[in-house]
Amino acid sequence: MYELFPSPIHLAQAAALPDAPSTVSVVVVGFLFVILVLALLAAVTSAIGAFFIKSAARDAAKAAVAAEKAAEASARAAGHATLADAPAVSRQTDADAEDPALLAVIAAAVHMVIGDRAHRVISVRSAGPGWAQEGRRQIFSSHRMR
Amino acid sequence: MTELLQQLYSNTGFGYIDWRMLVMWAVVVVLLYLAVYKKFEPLLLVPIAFGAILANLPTQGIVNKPASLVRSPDSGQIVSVIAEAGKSVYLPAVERVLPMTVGAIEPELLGTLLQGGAVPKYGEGSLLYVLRPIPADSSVPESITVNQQSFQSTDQLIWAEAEGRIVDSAVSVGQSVVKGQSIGELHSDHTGGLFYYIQMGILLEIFPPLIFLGVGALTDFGPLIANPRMLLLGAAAQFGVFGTFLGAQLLGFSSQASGAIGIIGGADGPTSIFLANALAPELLAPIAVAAYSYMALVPVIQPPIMRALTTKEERKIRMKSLRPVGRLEKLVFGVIVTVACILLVPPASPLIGMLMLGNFLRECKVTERLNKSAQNELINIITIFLGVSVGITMTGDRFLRGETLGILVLGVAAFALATASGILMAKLMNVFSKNKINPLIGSAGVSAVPMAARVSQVEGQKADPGNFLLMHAMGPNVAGVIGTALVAGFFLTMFGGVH
Repeated sequence: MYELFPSPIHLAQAAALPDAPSTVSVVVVGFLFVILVLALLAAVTSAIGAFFIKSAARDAAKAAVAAEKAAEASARAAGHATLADAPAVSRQTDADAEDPALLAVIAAAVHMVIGDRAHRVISVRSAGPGWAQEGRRQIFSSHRMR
Repeated sequence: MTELLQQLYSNTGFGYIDWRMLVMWAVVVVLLYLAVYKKFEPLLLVPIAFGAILANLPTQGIVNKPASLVRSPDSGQIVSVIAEAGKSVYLPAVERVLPMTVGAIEPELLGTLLQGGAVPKYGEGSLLYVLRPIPADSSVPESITVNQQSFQSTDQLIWAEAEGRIVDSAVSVGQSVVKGQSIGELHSDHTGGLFYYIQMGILLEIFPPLIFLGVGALTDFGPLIANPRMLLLGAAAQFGVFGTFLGAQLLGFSSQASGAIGIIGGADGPTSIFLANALAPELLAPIAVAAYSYMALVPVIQPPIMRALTTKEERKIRMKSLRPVGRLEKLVFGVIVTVACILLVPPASPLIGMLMLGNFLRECKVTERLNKSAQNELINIITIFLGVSVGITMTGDRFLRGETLGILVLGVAAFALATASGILMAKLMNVFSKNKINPLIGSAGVSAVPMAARVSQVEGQKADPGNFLLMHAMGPNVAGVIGTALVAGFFLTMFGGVH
C-alpha cells in the first residue's frame, strides 16, 4: 500500500539524479505528441462538422422547396384568392406582430422549441388577450392569501 | 487538586502544539480567507482548508490506520527484532514523518526505542524491526553502534503503522525476508479512522475518474465542436506541463517525480492526483495541495500574464458567433475522442473513459436521472471527500519542507507557462488565419474548468464591455481537459507507473 504521507527516505529517492540525455527528448516528443493528437482530433472534428453542416443545408433546402410547394398548393386551393390576401389573416390580429424585433424574438423562440430541423415561420397570429390574463394570474398567485 | 489539574492538562492536546502547527494554522486562515471572503473556488478550498485544520490538531479517530499485518518494506536481512508478542504499541497523537533509516535518527533515541521504551515524538513500542536491505551498489555505508549493537546507516527502521497489541512476531535476527513478506501482526479493536478509509479513494485511484465523470456530465463540448481549432490552444497550454517537467529535472527530481510535478501545469486536480499516485506517491500530498490551491488562484495568477502578453487591440477582438451543434454531432464527437485517445494512450483510459461517459450521459438526453446524479450528488460528495483528504495531508512537519516549497514554486511556474503558451499559440494562429482569435481565450487552455474561461471573459470585458468571450473560451478550456489527460497518459507510458 502506498503512503499518502511522504517520509524523508522516500523524498530522497524522489530527488534522485536527473536522467539528463532523455529529458529534452521526452519534452520534445511529448509536446509534439499532444499537439499532433489534438490536431488530428481537430481535423476529424472539422470533417464531421462539415458533414453535419452540409446535411443541415440539404435539409433546409428540402424544407424550403416543400414550403414553397405547400404555399402554391394553398394558393391554388383558394381559387382566385391571391397571395396578397393571405397576410390579411395576420392583419386581422395584432399590429405589433409586424414589428421586426418581435418577429425575430418569435423566430428565435420557435427555433428553441423545434431545434435544428429546417423550418420557416410563415404566419404570426396573436392568441388574443391571454398575455394580460397570464400577467394578472402571476401577480395574484405571487401573493399568499390568508 | 493540583495533581488533578495537571492530569487534566496532560490529557488535553495543548502539549502537542509546536511552531509548525502554528504556521499551518496561519496557512489555513489564508486559505479560508481566500475561499470565504474572496470566493476563490470555495468548493475546493473550504474542504482543503478544513482538512488542514484537522491535520494540525492532535486528533483521534481521523487518520489512524487499522492494526494489521506488518510487511517488510524491502528485501534483506533482519538485524534487530524489538517486537514481542503481547507487547502494546502506542503512537504519538500527532502523526509525524518518521525516520526510515538508522542514519536518520538520533542514536540516543534509537537506543531507547531498541529497548522498547517511549520517545514522545515516536511513541512507545512503535519501532518493531531493523532491516538491512540488499545493497544497491558497492559503496560501504557508515557504521553506527547503539546499545553495543552494530548497525549500518542505511539499515531500515520498520515502524508500527497503527496502535494495538502485537499478536505475532514471525521473524528472528539473521533471517532473510523479501519485500512485502509478512513479518508480524498487530491487533486492535479500533479499526482505523474515518479518513483512513476515505483516503483509499485517492490511493486506489477511484476519486479522480469519478470526478471526471461529473466533469464530463457538466461539460458542453459544443463550443469546441463548433470551432475545432480550439483544440490546438488546449494542446499548446500543455507546454506548461513539459516546461515544468524540464525544470523539475534540472532541480534534481527523478523523471517520475518530474512528470507528477509538471502535471500541476495542466490545472487539473484529479489528473494531478491520478498521475502523482501512479508515478510518485511519496509526493502526492504536496502535488495535490499545489494543484488545487493554484486552480483556486487562477483569477490571481492568470490576468497579469494575459495583460502582459497582449495588446489592448488584441484584447478587443470580437470573435464570430459559434454555430449551434446538434445532439448527434456531440455524441459522435464523444465516441471518437474516447476511441482515439484510449487507442493512443491506454493508461489514460480511466480519465478519458469516465469523462466521455459523463458527457454521453449528458448529451444523449435519455439518461437524465443519471446525468443529474453525475452533475450534482456524485461530484459534490467526491469533492468533499477529495478536498478534505488532500487537506488532511497538510501536517506541519510534512508540508514545511524544502521539497514541498520547491513543488509549490514549480507549480506556479507551470501555471504561468501554460497560460503564456496558450496565449502565444492564439497569437500565432492569428498570423495565419483570417478569422481572428482573441488571444485572451488562449489562457483558458489550462483545464481549470470553468475558472480559466471565466477569467478570459472578465479580462475581455475589461477591454471591451460588449465583448462576450465565455463560450469561445470554453473551447480551449475543455480541450485542455482532454490534453492534460493525454499528457498524463504519455507520462504513464514513458515512466511506467507500476502499481
